[in-house]
Amino acid sequence: MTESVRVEYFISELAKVERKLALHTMTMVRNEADAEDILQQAKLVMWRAFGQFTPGTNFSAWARKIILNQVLTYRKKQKRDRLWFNDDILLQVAEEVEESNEALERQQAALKECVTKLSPDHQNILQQRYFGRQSIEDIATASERTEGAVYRLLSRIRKNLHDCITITTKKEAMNHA
Amino acid sequence: MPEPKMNEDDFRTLCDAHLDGTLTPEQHGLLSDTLRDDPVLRRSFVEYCQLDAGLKLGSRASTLERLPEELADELANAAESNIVEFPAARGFGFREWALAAAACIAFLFAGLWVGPRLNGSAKQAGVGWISETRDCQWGDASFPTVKGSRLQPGELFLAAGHATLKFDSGAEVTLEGPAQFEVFDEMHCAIRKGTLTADVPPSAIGFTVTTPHGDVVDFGTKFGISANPGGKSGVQVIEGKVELRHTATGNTLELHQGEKAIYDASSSQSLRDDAEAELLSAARRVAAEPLVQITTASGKGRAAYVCSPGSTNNVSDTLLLLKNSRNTQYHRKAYLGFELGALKPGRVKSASLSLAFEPTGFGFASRQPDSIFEVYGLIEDDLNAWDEQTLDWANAPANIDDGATIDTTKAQLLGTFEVSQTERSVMRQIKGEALARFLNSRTAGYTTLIVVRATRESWAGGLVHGFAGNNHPTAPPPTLRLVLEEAAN
Repeated sequence: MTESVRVEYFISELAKVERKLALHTMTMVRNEADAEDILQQAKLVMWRAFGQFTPGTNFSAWARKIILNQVLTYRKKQKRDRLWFNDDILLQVAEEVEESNEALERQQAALKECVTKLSPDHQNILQQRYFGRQSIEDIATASERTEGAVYRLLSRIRKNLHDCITITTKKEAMNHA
Repeated sequence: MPEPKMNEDDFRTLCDAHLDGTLTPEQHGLLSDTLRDDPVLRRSFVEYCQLDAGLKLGSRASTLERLPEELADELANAAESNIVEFPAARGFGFREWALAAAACIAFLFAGLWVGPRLNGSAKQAGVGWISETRDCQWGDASFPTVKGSRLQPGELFLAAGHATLKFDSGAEVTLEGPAQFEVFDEMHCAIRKGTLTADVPPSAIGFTVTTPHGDVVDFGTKFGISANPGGKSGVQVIEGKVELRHTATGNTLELHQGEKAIYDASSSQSLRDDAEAELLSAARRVAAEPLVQITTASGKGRAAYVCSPGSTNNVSDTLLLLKNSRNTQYHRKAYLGFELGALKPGRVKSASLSLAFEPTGFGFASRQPDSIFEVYGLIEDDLNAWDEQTLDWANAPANIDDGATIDTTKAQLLGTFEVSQTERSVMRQIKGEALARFLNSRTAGYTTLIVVRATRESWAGGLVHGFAGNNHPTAPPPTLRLVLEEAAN
């Protein structure tokens, strides 16, 4: 393979799974800025180690291994004032994430559907929190609630979504059985 | 004995606090314990995190879905590499080629590239400084390399000598030339090729050195690395403890005082017995790779430019100026002296000359079309004895009193290159047979190259071109890169 073909191959493989890798990293690392740093670094490593990737095998799985390594490296570099899980727990969580990987696409599709089933008010709160990245304080002021009430509301919305996703994916699985 | 499981509501409170970023240390401990001990709740936790990540990512084009600038550069570099004549020089930081190539393959990035790194601006202040230099010859570098300079994220190539870099984290790295090195931040650097030693105080525990096939993470220690992208790399702990994370396998090796590990693209191996010989031979192979870089700033190298008589204005201390004027004044030609030293005639397999063009601020580009430049090599080795201080229009070897003419009985044309009307900060190079043949027939251990601008200005007051000489604060000096035949034993 010439270098330029290799570059094209790498970019096409990466493009196919890029969103999934972003999702994967953000699942492992809550803080968006941290997740971004880790993913950027991981992409560099992927390219530099691309010679070791066997064409035709699962690029996404290979890439996730590199991301995990980067998460562990990154965690080591963090100062103690940030709460990070220790390596053992990160590895256990990573294993769990790996196991759920196959269901991820269905889950995300269900998430989209479930959001549309929320009440307009709840959709609005999600919109402000996740899309608008507004602080809890701002949302509280805007919606004339206390901060505690907004936290509780977000918690309830997440639970509703979680339940809805679980039911939706179960139903799908039964339909396909 | 399994402890009573946490009830689901309490657990959800912890998940929420995790996702909202409001976990207290106590809650964090509790959540950690639960995740460790309870597989069912662990699954539930992962589902919540996936849900949260999905909402965050939403339908917008996330900043996570783009290529880091550095990667774009590397890909561009690689995509371009099939037209680079000597593969041995790849990875030697010709970022400029890559940037040019990036434009050519921009279509490949469609949908991936969303712009520069968001946190890039915070990094401008530097992450350390160059604290010590001994007999240093620098090659390409993304930032100034004189002693005392601030370290910036970017690449640097140390052709020869030793340089000590002190990171703001307290970590100290000594590079042994030739070494290709990259700075990321105060806790992270990379050695692409060559040898370094590191001394990391407790303040910088976690300091990471990325090497071609693995990361070396420090735990407060002194260690040495010899990096070899095409073969085996080695790490040796002098004092303390490091961890080697092998990229391909994901394996980690913990290395203690006196221990070494050898690793390459496919495997890593800890060597608890004496394997110094192998480590040294790996280091030697790196050093022995037959690539030589000579600049006009190395050894007895020289760089100067001459102006036709009557040119009283517009001079530069840092740039070598070039102009082919419409009248007899303000012609300018550049002279480059390279010490070839012990280079044996006939050993050069391929060669290139690189020049870093920078804006001069003199003249109008609108009065200067796209320009062709010519590089000549002085055939008469007796004429090499010119002096930077006294070189002038009249005594410059092979000079003919004209904007671009060189006496071809004394010098021969080695190559040409073009700079377009609008280009300012660009790298240009010539390479090919003629240059290699010319260098192979030099017997004096020294050579002079002459650069002229063949294209004349369209009107008076046209642009003056200039490329970095030996005193430019940031751009590299004129550089010859030679790939040599393996020495016959």
